[in-house]
Amino acid sequence: MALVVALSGCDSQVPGPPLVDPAALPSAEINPVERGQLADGGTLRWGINELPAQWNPHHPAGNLSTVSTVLRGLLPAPFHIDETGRAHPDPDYVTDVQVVTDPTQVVTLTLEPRARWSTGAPITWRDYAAMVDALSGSDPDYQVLGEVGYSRIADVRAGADDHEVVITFDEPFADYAALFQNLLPADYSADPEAFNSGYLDRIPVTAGPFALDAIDPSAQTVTLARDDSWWGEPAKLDRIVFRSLSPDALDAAFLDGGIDVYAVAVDAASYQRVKTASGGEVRAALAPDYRHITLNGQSPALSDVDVRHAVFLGIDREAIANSAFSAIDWPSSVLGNHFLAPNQKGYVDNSGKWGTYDPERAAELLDGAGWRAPEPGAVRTRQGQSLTLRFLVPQGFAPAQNEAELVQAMLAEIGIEVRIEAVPGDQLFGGYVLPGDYDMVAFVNSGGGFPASEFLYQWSNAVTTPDGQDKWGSNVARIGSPEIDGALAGALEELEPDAALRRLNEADRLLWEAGHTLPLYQRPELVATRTDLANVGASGFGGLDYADIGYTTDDGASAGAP
Amino acid sequence: MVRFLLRRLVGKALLLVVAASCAHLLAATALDPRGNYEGQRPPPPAETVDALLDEYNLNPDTPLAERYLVWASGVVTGDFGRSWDGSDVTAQLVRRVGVSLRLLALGAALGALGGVLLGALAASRHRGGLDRTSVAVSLLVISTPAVVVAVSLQSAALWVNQVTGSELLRATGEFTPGLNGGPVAQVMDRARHLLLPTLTVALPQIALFSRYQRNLMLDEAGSDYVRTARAKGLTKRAALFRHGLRTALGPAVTYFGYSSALLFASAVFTEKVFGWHGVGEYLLDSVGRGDVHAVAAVCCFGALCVVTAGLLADIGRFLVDPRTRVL
Repeated sequence: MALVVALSGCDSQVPGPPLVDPAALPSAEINPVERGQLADGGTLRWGINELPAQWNPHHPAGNLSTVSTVLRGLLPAPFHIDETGRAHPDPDYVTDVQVVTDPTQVVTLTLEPRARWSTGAPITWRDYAAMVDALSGSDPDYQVLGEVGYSRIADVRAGADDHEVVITFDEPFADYAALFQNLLPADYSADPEAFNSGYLDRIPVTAGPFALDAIDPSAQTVTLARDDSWWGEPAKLDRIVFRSLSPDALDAAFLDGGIDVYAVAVDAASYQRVKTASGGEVRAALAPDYRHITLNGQSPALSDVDVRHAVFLGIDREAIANSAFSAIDWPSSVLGNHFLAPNQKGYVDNSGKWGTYDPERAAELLDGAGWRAPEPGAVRTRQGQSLTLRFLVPQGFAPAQNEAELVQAMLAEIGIEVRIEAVPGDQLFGGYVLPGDYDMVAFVNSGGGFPASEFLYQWSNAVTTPDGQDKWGSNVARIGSPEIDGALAGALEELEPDAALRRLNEADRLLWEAGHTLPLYQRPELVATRTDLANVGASGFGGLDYADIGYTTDDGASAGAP
Repeated sequence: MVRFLLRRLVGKALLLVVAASCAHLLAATALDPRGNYEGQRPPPPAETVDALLDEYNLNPDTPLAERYLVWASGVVTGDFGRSWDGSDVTAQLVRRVGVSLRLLALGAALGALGGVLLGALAASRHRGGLDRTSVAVSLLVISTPAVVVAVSLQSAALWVNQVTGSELLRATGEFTPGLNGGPVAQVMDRARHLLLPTLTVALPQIALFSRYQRNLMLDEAGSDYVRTARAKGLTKRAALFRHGLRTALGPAVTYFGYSSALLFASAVFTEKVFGWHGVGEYLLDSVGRGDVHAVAAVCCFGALCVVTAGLLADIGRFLVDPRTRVL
């Protein structure tokens, strides 16, 4: 952190506001109010971006943030994640958690005995066991996302009674709290057919403060109603109506009073339009994600680590952050870690000598690597090849285009030519990035508080197949090493939190040294809400508790009510 | 009449089959739904993605001819296949056609009627104040892109709501979700939602039709029978309305038929801006998602509209204009 602050002090070239210490920014802004002070009742209209067809969040077609948003009020999760990404047992579902590590890791969950599915059946160890069978990947008939962790479980048994779940691991797994989020009933996870299509176009079974009232596919709305058989604190709201609209229509609907809350795109036009809404406000906090530039370590020019580091040093990250945030009233800062955000425990700026904008040093590195400019200001060449990089951007996405143009101008100063190539958004990954057909690309990593397991795929070394081919999988930068893998494996297996964070930071330092992916900045999360709504807004890493959302005034509750 | 109809029907049916096949083959060649899965971070296992695409007959690795045959055998039974995420395309299309109809019907009817009337009036007062004003306004509206008309009307409505502090006009959606109340309240709620999109649809239609109708009428004004009618003592306006309007309606009916078919496709901006989930939005979103079957289905529907509109226009002309019956 000290480094970030020091940077802002010494750099006088960058226009725009000085950088701030990101740890001073809010991790959540949800207008927290005690339940007792909230009005009872009311309807909340919540804008979403699409009406999903597949509501099983563990199915590849249901892997949408909209699905998670809706299911948060409907499906169980044994752990609640707070705004900085730490997990706590959720007493509505789990009353006690015991972890034993010797001789093998065993996690014992004591379930809340009153917890029931909407079918009336109790939630038991069988639901947990069936979920592990489905998601472990051992049965190819289950169409699954491939979430990390389930395959490390040896078996799931009942403990003293049906409400005690004993989970025995083959290999230690520190992120066990990430498992069983959006628990499905055994009826739908014990059978591949039910798993694959049981939640298609419907949400048949729930167990939360709300229950599904209706899905209207013509108006594209999903209505949740307070579940009276809920065993916890009852929901304050009568109903939540999720309404799907295109981004521009969401802005208009909020201004018009047609929706009460929605996530505003990090986009100047939307933000400027919405912040003027009467009776509304934009709640902003640090988002659980960050933007970065990935370099293809197997492209001819970038296979040299010195060239990659020269690109790191030649990009002025502060200027890019300033440009991204200039119109949304959000102080800019840069990020020095691939895994942790500055508002999280254990964050260290590991960028070292590779995080500061230093075109002179970049030029030296390029000279040393044999890339020389025939004349000052010209594109560098080596053995007749010119130093030209292809920067992919998704078509029609103006912020990415602007960002790429900034990078283009910055790298031109150190003699690297950047060609910006706009490709169809739906083909960016499948057609270009995954097959390694690119030099540079920028995108966002969104996390949920479990950086080691969630992003393992992005940093893992290639697997050599029997025929001698390197398979990089989803490590799209195609840079890896046994040391990075070792540190990550350590972080995954280390159940002592501080030791796990040390291993994570070790992996991060190695990634900086390897010139793997340049983190740019942590993004803000902007959520527009009515001013009289409480316990809803930008919630950081954490999930909201939908039972606590409510209106602070009777007016608000009755305005939303029919 | 029957022979005339049959001949038309067979020709149009053939045209429909060719258009539908082209739609699927083009969509299946150009679009790839795999990106929906591969764009996820992390992407699901490749075997799972292949299994899913195979299940929905969407795998680009399957030969095109095979995919086409599977698709065509479904379409014959009224099944347009599945989207990349498993949703039923036929059901989705039917729902969205309903939404588009509710969005467009009133606007299209108002547009056609208003346009013909305005055009006829303008022609009867050729070079009068009404004529000149309508020409100027029409040209302005015609040269404004539909999306600008939609956004301007929406912004105006938001401004009116803000200034008056009321919720007179609603800027998005078909109705207020979850509104309880009697039938009267429901109808009023729908009307408040319908006003702006109806204007968005009707205004450009009125502008176009009035120009078209005016010029048709003016051509008629110089024709023998109108001159004869005037020579028999009718005023210019009466001669035009009684003798010129009917003949001028023939071409207008044809034009109306085809333009209302295209209305479905051009409604995409109205749907996007006002948040109605109709056919135009379906096409645009599906192209973005590489959703082959959805794109093919909308194109088939578009072809059906154009063909049907052509048929109806032929029948309409047949009824309006006795001269066509000689053929």
